[in-house]
Amino acid sequence: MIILFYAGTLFFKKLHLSLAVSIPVFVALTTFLIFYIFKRKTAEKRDTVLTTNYSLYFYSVTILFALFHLSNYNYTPNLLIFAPIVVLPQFVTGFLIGFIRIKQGFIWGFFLHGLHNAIFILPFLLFPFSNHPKLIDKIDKDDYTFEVYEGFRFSSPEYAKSQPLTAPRKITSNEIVLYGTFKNVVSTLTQTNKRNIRFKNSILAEKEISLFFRNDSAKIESARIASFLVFDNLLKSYNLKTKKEQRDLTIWNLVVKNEHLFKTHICDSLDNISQNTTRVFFGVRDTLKLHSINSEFLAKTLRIAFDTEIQNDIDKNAVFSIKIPNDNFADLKHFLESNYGLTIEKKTEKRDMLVIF
Amino acid sequence: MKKATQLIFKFFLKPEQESFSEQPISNKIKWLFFLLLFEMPFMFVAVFLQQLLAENGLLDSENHLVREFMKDNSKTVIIILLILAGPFIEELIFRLPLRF
Repeated sequence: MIILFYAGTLFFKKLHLSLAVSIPVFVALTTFLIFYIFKRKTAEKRDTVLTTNYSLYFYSVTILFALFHLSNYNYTPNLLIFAPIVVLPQFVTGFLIGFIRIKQGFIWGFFLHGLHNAIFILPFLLFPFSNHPKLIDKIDKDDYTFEVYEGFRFSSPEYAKSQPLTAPRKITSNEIVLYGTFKNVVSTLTQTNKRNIRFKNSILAEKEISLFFRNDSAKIESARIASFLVFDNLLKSYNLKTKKEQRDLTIWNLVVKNEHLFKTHICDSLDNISQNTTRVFFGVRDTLKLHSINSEFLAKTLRIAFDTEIQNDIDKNAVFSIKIPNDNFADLKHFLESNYGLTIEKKTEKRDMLVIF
Repeated sequence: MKKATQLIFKFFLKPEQESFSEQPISNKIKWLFFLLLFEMPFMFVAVFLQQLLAENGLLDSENHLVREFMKDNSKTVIIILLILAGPFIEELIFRLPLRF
């Protein structure tokens, strides 16, 4: 059944349905087939077969329930390899709910399931952590002050109106004010492409922090020196170290695969290229509609929207319009190929990485 | 408590369809909360293992669908779908057929 599960899920993946759709659909279909069709045709036989092999049946359904929750994650090969660890909590919960369902009845299984979800969800609803900035470190020296908070903290009138999406970002030799994920802040301070930064602690990398630095001395002459001083203090605050390392980095090349199909979308000359600004997706059903853009702009947009290193290998003079749905990155390749004659080709490149550990 | 643990362990080794004999609702509620407590140590171990995977870049835990869902929806919608409707539908699919 497990083999059937993986095979079915990969089959749906081949049909370019996202994992979030393919797993639930496959699980629902399998369960339906196992139980209800069996029930209609050979109820007695079903009772005998399932009762004789009840352990196998119980654990198969419990494992299916656990694997069903893989659809909560973005599909990667590692996800399937480490599936047993990833869905271990759901297996344990599924087993215990199965136990109470059999011993006390269906409604008690539902109660346990609902309570289980409530325990894990309610704390986040009642105490949304992003609203409670936590002071991590404060350094008050003669010539400068440095503060770092976890969360969004901008209480001064200058920043009070700001929301996280339009958070202030100021870097001068006298003042640095930054808000963002730890990785983005490091990227800004060190002027390093964030794809060339690797954190040993990936949870810390995504933690949102607010940084304040004020310099009252003339010793710090430039914004760059101030940035490195702040970066140094930030590392000390979290007891982190850095090293440079050469690593293979996966990058994607945007190329034309079907010249004929691509040409049908070319709409104008370069003179009429519109003044687009880079957009990101808002919500899961959002579609980016880009009018009169060139390949450079498309690569830049994809880079930002999918947070992946994408380079352009298409003639910059071609101007076209394109719509990009907010789908998995894995499905983007198929979408571009079938609709626009474009594709993204995978390659690896050696890069100097800034490793933070 | 020891007896309850033994009963779960026995069921773990050999699941069967036999239900409890008729018992008061207070006992049923006790079982409900006992099972909730019982699963907690397993949850901690599982979360710890998942964190190890995430820290070593083997698991992308940041783009979790539930987390995204919670960011995009109101508290009422979250409670209705994740605490009431979701579990109910999952129970219909996965637990209802466990007894026949």
